[in-house]
Amino acid sequence: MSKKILIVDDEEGIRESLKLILGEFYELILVEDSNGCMECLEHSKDIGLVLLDIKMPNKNGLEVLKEIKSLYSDIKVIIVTGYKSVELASEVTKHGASGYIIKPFDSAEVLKSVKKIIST
Amino acid sequence: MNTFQFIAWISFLTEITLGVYLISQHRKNSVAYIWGLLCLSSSTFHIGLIIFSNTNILNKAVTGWQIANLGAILGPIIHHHFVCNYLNLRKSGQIIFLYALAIVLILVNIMYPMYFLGSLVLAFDTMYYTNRHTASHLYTFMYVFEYWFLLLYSFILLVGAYKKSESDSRRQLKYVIIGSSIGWLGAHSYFIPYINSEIYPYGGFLLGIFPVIISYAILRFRILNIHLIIHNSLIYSLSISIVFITFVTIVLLLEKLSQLMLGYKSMYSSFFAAISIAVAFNPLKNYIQHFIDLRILKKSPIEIAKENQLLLYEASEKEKFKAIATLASGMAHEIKNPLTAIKTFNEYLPKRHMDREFILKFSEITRKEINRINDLVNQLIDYGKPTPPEYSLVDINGLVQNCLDILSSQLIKHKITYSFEADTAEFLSIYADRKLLHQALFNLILNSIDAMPSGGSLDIKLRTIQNQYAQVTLTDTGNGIPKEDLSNIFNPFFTKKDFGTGLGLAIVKSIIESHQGYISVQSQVNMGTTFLLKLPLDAPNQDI
Repeated sequence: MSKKILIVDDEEGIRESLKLILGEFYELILVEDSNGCMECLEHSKDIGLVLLDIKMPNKNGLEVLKEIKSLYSDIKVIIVTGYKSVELASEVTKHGASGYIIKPFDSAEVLKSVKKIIST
Repeated sequence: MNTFQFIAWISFLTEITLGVYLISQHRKNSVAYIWGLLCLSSSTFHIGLIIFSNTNILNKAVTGWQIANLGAILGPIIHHHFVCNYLNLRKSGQIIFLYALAIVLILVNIMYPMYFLGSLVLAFDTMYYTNRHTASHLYTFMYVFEYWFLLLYSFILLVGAYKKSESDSRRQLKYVIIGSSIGWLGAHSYFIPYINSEIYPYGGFLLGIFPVIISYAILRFRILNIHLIIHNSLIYSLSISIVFITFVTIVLLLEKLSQLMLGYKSMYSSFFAAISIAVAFNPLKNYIQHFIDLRILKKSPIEIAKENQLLLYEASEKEKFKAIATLASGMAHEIKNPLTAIKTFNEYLPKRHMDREFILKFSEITRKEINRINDLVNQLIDYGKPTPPEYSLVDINGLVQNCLDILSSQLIKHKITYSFEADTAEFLSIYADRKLLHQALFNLILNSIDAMPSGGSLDIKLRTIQNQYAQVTLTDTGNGIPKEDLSNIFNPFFTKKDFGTGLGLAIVKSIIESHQGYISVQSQVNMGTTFLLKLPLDAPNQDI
């Protein structure tokens, strides 16, 4: 799997956690906000998956999701959220998310979801 | 005067006072207004009752019945209107139809009373009463349709709502259901002689009590001074009665006097009587007020004022609790972030404990995250503690961001997009009590969430004005506030919601003003609302 994973989260703790879990298996790019995210997507052409925090200052994760899917429809997006709800799940799926991860996450689960989604 | 009439008089006076009070003082609160109309229609019934029960002249009795029927016809219909309005049910078609029916029945009642009422029968040797054997089919229809069918329907609606309700609305509904049952039992008793002219309408007095019970329910859970209401109503009823009696007596006396002295009745006598009443009324009213307070309500004015303060405090605490509950859920969500990092690093510890780099990074991140959790928990504790205001330099920039962070999950849950724009990223210091300002902002954001039940957007902007003020504007795309309500929204207990105490914005205003700030609102129905807050920046940024 030569596809890179882009991790977008304003919290250092979350970024480092995801790096810990996924760093062994995938090449990762870590950014702090939506601007960094869009810039990366523009410049790197081999990003296969974006792990996107739904709650970030300035721009709402949902808005970013819509933007990513409209510009790069073949890049998969997994939403990272602390909020577990059926409405949120259907809302993000409706806008193109391939899945979502709930915080605090279980590292084995994260690995499994990422493996599954990035290869489809 | 017999018991029947005495009860009717008391009912009449209570209902007309309550009715006039509710209609004149609560024009904006449609529930209270319609209830006021019901009180008035019931008072009409009682006046008619007083008339027909006081005479054995058939014509006069017929007039009395016509007036009583005005109230009887409108009663269940206004009650149904009240129930639909109170439960927020849209049944305008039904209600318009019912009022149209009422108009038809009233017209027949006014124009063809002999047909409508049928022949009145002398009951209990004292008064003329309608009787089902002689009344028209239309009258029977009115009784059955309104007093059985319609009332039952209204009750089913009330009971259905009761089953689905919680806490405060449940309590209020309980009063309404009990009060209505009592009232309509009373109303039905007046129809007993109609069915069987041997049975005396004993239960009638119940009809007089129920406006009081229900007015209590409406007012107690909305505004404080129900004591004052009942208390004022009693005073006014008694004062009016006493004044009325006094006036009549004085006029009669003066007429007799002028007749004796001048040989004719002089109009100056009525004039004089009117002036003396006007002069004596206030002191008389105060005396009665004092008497009622001490003897009947057994409370001094100070105790009543204290009670009101207590109720105000209670309502304010309720409001605060609601905010805390939301705060708690927002914070619980916030805590998940630091927990995530700690959890993940903990999962990898067994495998990586030999990795120096991992250990260094792990302990640094965990340390920071634990501090964050601690801060959040402390904030929650602070918020719940009732402490006196503590002033310090507060960064309004950071404060707004913090509020948004905490409420972000709520905003997302309600499909509300939000943004925060500040014209500076610096520490904008305001000399303030952090907790109070936090509460004010929190309440405003919560209000916006309530105004956008199907989603929308909330944009917050922070600007510095001439280095003297920080201006925060909160703009939502919610339901908006009607123009006629704009001047009232900061008033305590003014609310259009059927939940809440109506104190939120009043509290916000008092907080902002206690910080020498200023709050204003602009709104358009269905377009949205903008709240504007201006707070003076602290000394270094300002020359005072």
